[in-house]
Amino acid sequence: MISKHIVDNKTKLAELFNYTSDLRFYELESLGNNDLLIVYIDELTDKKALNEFVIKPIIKDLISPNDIKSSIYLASIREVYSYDDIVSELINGHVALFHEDIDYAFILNINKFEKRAVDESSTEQVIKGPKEAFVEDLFVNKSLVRRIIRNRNLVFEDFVIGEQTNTRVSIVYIKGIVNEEVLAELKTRIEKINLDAVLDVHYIEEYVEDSPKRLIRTLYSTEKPDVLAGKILEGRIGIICDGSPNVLTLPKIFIEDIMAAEDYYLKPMFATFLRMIRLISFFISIFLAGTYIALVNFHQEMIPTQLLITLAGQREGVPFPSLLEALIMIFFFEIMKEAGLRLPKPIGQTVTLIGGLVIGQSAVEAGLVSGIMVIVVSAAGISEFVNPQFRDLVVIYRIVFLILGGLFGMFGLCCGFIAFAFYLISLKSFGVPYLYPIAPYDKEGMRDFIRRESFKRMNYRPKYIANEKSRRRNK
Amino acid sequence: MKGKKIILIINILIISITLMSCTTGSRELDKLGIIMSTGIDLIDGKVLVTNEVMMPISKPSEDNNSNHVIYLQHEGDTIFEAFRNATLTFDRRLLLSHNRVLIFGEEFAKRGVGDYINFFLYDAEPRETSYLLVAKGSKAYEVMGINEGLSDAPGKYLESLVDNNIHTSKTRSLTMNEYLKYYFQRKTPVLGVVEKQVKRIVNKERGQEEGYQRDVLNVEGGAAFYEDKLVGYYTGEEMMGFNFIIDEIKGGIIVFEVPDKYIAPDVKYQATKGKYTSLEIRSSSTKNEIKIIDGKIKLTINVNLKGAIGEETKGLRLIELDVKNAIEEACSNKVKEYISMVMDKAQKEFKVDSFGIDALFHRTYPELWKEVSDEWSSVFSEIEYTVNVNTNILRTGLIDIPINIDKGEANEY
Repeated sequence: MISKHIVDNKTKLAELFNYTSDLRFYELESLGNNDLLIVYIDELTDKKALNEFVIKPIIKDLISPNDIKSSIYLASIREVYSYDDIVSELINGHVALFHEDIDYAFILNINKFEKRAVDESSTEQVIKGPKEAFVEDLFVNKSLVRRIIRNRNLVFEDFVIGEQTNTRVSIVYIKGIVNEEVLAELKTRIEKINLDAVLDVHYIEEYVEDSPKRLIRTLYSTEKPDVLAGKILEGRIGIICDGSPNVLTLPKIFIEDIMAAEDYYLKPMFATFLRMIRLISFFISIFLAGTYIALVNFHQEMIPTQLLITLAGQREGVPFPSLLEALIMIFFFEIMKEAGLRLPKPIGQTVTLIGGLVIGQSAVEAGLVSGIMVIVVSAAGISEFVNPQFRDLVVIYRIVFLILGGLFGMFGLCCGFIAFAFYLISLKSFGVPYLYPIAPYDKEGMRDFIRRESFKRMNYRPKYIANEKSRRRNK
Repeated sequence: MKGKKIILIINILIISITLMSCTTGSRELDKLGIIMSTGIDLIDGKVLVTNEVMMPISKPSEDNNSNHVIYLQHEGDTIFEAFRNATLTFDRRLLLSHNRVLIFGEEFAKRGVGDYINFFLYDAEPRETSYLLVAKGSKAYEVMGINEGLSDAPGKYLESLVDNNIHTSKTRSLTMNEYLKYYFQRKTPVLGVVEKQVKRIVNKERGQEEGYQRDVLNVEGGAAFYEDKLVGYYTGEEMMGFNFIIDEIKGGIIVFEVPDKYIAPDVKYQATKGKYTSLEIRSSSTKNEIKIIDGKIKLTINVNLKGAIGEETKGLRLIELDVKNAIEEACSNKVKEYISMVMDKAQKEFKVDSFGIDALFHRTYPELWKEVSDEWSSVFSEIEYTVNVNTNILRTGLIDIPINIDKGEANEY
């Protein structure tokens, strides 16, 4: 219960906050000799607004406690009746106002967090189309979405997750388009989350995805509001988390990683071509090294004669078996990639340059690896960068298929491929088959698959993701 | 318990995968010798196999004339044994998959090849698309190792020569599987031929002694087989006739003479009057018909030839219709001549039906076939044949009046 005396309230709050140094108490007296106490957390509050719209009118005009609401120039003033509520509001940067002889507090929404300005996306760069990216602030992110979809059916639902961090998490969807079953399932999964801290949205991913042990992500992660808008307009649900510039969308299907936001801003035919390039490079990045080893070690008859002679010439004098050679190369390639990624930009470039020179050129000249192996590994590596979303999957499975190809040839590779296909088909994301629209074949879904058809002909939203037979337009 | 189970399953999988796979295991490229061509001879009852093995060289050397190949010779009672014996003297395992040309020595071909080439079907490595050739008048290894082309290996040089057949139709590019097809159906395959010729020295280098000679390979002609034995050779021109009969003409030049009476009377020669006209074959199709008239088997060979005039040296005015008809007739006569040359040789000299007339007869008269099938060779020799050729000139070259005749007023410009 809140005390009527502001002194009691002050001591109680100080105690609740463990006498932290950034909790500020400000006692003042108004025109009508009313004693008031303002409590806030330093640097979370908009001081200017506090001075202009709260303190100034109180000192100048406030005569009776009944006039508090009418004399403060703020859109959002609420009354709260318990210390728990006050604490959670103060944490969020709001200001609590106590009045002598009143046993409740007023909460004033004048919080102001330090945040990054909305900037160009650094991880999902585009040539055409919107460039802005989400920031770490939940409210800014919400406003970015709201600005794109001006529709009363756009719904945000808020949750607070994390025993220690009390992070605000919000799910966003469009009522009427969203698949209600998926929505209900997501809500129950979010309710079950038991985390002490949520530092990024991917903490939540691990709790809500269908099979956390598997390597393939069944939630799509993006940084761009236009991508999120596109996804929720197809019936997906977005998860926005305070403190994270990434937004998750679900359900996710395989082809989403092949698509790019830009596809919809380009000519359909060119977008189709780009998607094919991405799909091919996905397969190259996984299978190229394994296929090369299988052909060279087991099926020399499948290589054209001239190429075989060149390859044999390259292999001449290399001390390691081809499989080991490939593993060494991939190992060093991963080291180089990791080194370039983590270091500050200027040094990172130097590392990549030196690494490229040393491994690419000197190793070949020294006869440690064959030149063709460098080409194969780097071609697979570059193909990997075409689809950055697939990175975790590609890196691991490339090595798996390399070993299969190196030990059992095409036979092993084919067995592995079949198992891999089964694995992909068996995956589901919130009840939606991962390989939709191939694995359960859907003619309408194929319109926006590898082929990107014109908007005129894309009449329906994806079948399992949105509501049943949900038309994009009314006519 | 669960962990043990998983380990057991993984072990079973690994064992079954290794046992099930048909390959013998991984073979590193640097432990293999890649065979480019193979020659087979018989010496004292033993098979002598000669292999041309490519040397793996990482960077092609600047010296283009050097062949990066070495030659292996090994003997055995069978071809398989001979190949395995090669490892006694050679440090790498031989890879037959890229063998493009298989050369039979003449002596070996005359003796019969059927029993030995079984190896190339039993073994998984050899390709059935490798070309079969007979070394005319020599041992197989004598024609190997000659590279007068720009290829970097003699085997590739020889393969390209056989591929070039589409430009002349004067030989046969028969692969192993085609050979077997003919062998099983009619027992009369016709193989390509390779022959060593002395090359005229064009630019004599310093230091070369008198009498220095270089050899060049020539693949003109064909080798007629009966069952698996060589019975004789067709010449290059006969092979053109052969290719016309079996409808395998893909290209080539027909050179013929047009009678003088078609030269316009007012032609004035400005230069030497030539003799021949050449026609480039653009397309050709042949339909053979067989009929029994009055108890005699009569064969009709209908050739429909389309071509373009490649050159004309006699001073004919190609734009005139009767001249064009005369050229077409002269060309048809030449084709008839080619066909009768090869038919006569097959009927009278070899008594071997190389053209698959028996299959045609079998199709047309299935009942009668049983009566004649056993003595088809003698029946074939008695067949009367007529050749109908219809030549169609599609176009001339860039000019239609030869430069050795006076063009009249047009000449002044």
